[in-house]
Amino acid sequence: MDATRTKYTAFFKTRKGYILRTILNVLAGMLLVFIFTRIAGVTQYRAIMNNMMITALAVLAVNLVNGCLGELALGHAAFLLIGGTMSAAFTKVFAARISSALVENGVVTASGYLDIVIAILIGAISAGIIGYIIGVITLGRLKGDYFCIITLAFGFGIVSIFNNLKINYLKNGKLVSLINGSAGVSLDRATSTATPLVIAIVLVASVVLMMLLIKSRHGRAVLAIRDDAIAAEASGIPVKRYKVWMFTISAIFTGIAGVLYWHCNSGMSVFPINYSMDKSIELFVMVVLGGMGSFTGSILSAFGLTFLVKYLLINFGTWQKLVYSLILLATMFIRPKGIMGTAELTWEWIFTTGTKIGRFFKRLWFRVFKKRRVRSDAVTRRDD
Amino acid sequence: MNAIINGLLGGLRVGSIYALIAIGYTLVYGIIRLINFAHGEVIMIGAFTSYFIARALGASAWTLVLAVVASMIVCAIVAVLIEFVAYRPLRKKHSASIVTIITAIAMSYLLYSIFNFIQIKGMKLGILNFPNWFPQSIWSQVLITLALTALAMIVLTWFVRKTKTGMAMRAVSENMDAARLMGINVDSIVSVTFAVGAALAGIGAIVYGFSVPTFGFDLGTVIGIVPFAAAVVGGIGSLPGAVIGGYVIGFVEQLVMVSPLSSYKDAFVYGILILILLFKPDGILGKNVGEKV
Repeated sequence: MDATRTKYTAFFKTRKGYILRTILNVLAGMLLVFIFTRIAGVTQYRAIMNNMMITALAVLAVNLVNGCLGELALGHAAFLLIGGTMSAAFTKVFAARISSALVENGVVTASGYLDIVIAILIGAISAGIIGYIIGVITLGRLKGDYFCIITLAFGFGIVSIFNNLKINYLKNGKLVSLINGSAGVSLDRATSTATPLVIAIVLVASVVLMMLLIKSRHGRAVLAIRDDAIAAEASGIPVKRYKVWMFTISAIFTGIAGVLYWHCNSGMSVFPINYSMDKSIELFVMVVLGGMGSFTGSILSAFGLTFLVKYLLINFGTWQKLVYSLILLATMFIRPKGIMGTAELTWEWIFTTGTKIGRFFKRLWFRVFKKRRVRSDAVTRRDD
Repeated sequence: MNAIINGLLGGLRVGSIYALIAIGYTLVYGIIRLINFAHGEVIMIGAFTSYFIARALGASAWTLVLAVVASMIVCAIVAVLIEFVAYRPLRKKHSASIVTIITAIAMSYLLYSIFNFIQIKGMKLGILNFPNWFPQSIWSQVLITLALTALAMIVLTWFVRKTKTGMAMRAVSENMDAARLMGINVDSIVSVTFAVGAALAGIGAIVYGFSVPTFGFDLGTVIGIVPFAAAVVGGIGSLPGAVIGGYVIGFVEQLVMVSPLSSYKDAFVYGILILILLFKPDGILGKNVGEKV
């Protein structure tokens, strides 16, 4: 660690540094929301930008279990399905009624974003409940390979159930299909409720929440469990409880990503079969490429891979798996810890790199335009 | 009543297929503790081999024998190649188990997409017909399936129990380091294990073709995952366990298929897997290995 780096690290540990960092974080978050919304504002890029942001949220959620907790879970697409289906069904039946009732009674003044907020809550709660149940019954008993297998089994089982689930409801005296088995829920709304602004805000807010969680006492306990579960247990950390809660939180965030998936396209139904093992592995590939345990890496690889596969290779649908397999193999053989490892993009790093780049250009400047001074320096050094 | 008999016959047939394929998973897991996700793709390659043999020589009882042998050999070569290219370098580097699992998933995807690509270049559709080896009836299907499975099991048991290579395999699965110290060439034994598992999968692919009319390059996903569940149910790492698990899963699946709940087939199969994992994580015949500090 060089001197500049040490200086900045020390500075960011002081009270002033803390305040500066908080201000910078808030500014960066607002800037990111602004940039994402502006890019998605162009109709041409809206679909891919929405897709990238939602994928990033899902990958971050998977990273909580696979990276931070260190347990291989291969069934997370099921939580996308649960959150998405439940919230879509809710939006279809109740959202309009509830928001209009609240507006009439004067609880809120405008119902613009109320639908999506309620949908996100419903999706998060339903995915969280299922995640908690799965966590409680599996994580106490199983780990490693067996946990990987049972999450796979739960993923297949949930997709199979949703493939056959048919629920109808009465509307004006006739039956209307709500959840239609393998045809999914079709949201026939005129406008999509998950606008790019909503998605960007949810993404940034989720990143903030996850970072706060991982930096907290509980997050450090989780990281301790990942590094050595037996030692953590011996130090008095309730390993099972932390594992279950981490799994639940991951399920909640995945559920939110599922809500956004199903709400960002109006008039489109999403089929349960799309949320089988392949989707889980797609998310997992992104976690592995970015670096297991690194939030920055997850976001980078989610944006990069989604852009590459869904935008550049859009005409080569069959190549998707080839790209994924080659990326996985290359990662495993060249750099098994992923692009970022467990490192994060920090202000310390940005400042250090900025200073170094600045110094490089300063030196270049002197070398090109002020040759005499450089030479005189050399002369004095020779005299020494 | 007729439905139940059909279900039971189907269970025998499907159970045999699952048992043959599950042995491949269980052998590899028993010896190097790796969930070999690429096994499903090996099955697909076996199905392609039998298809091309039938196309070249015609489908009859004699070419069936030839196809079984060829499929076994091709599958074994492919599996040994996979092991040599992907898993052995990682084993030499003493990689973490998560790294080898990820590599296995990657190899599965790679083989899938390679065949997907060939298929799209060379053929019109992604779906091919399995060859018609013999006059089809449910009894002939079940009898030939059972005969092939029994023959394979007997040869496998003899191989594992009586031959020197089989003994070395058991030694390596007990303790790899001790086996190496006893002068066993661990790398070649691991290759032999992959070859044996893949050869059985090659038989499984042909036997699967007796009852199912068509197959495609996604055969590995269609038929690869459920036998894996069977291997875990029976106790992953145990050979008799894989056979028992295969028949348990096969019977349950086929009995659900003839019941009114047929569309919930997958939910039942994975439900059994979940129950077994929860109450006896080592499977029906697995032995409980205590955790070491």
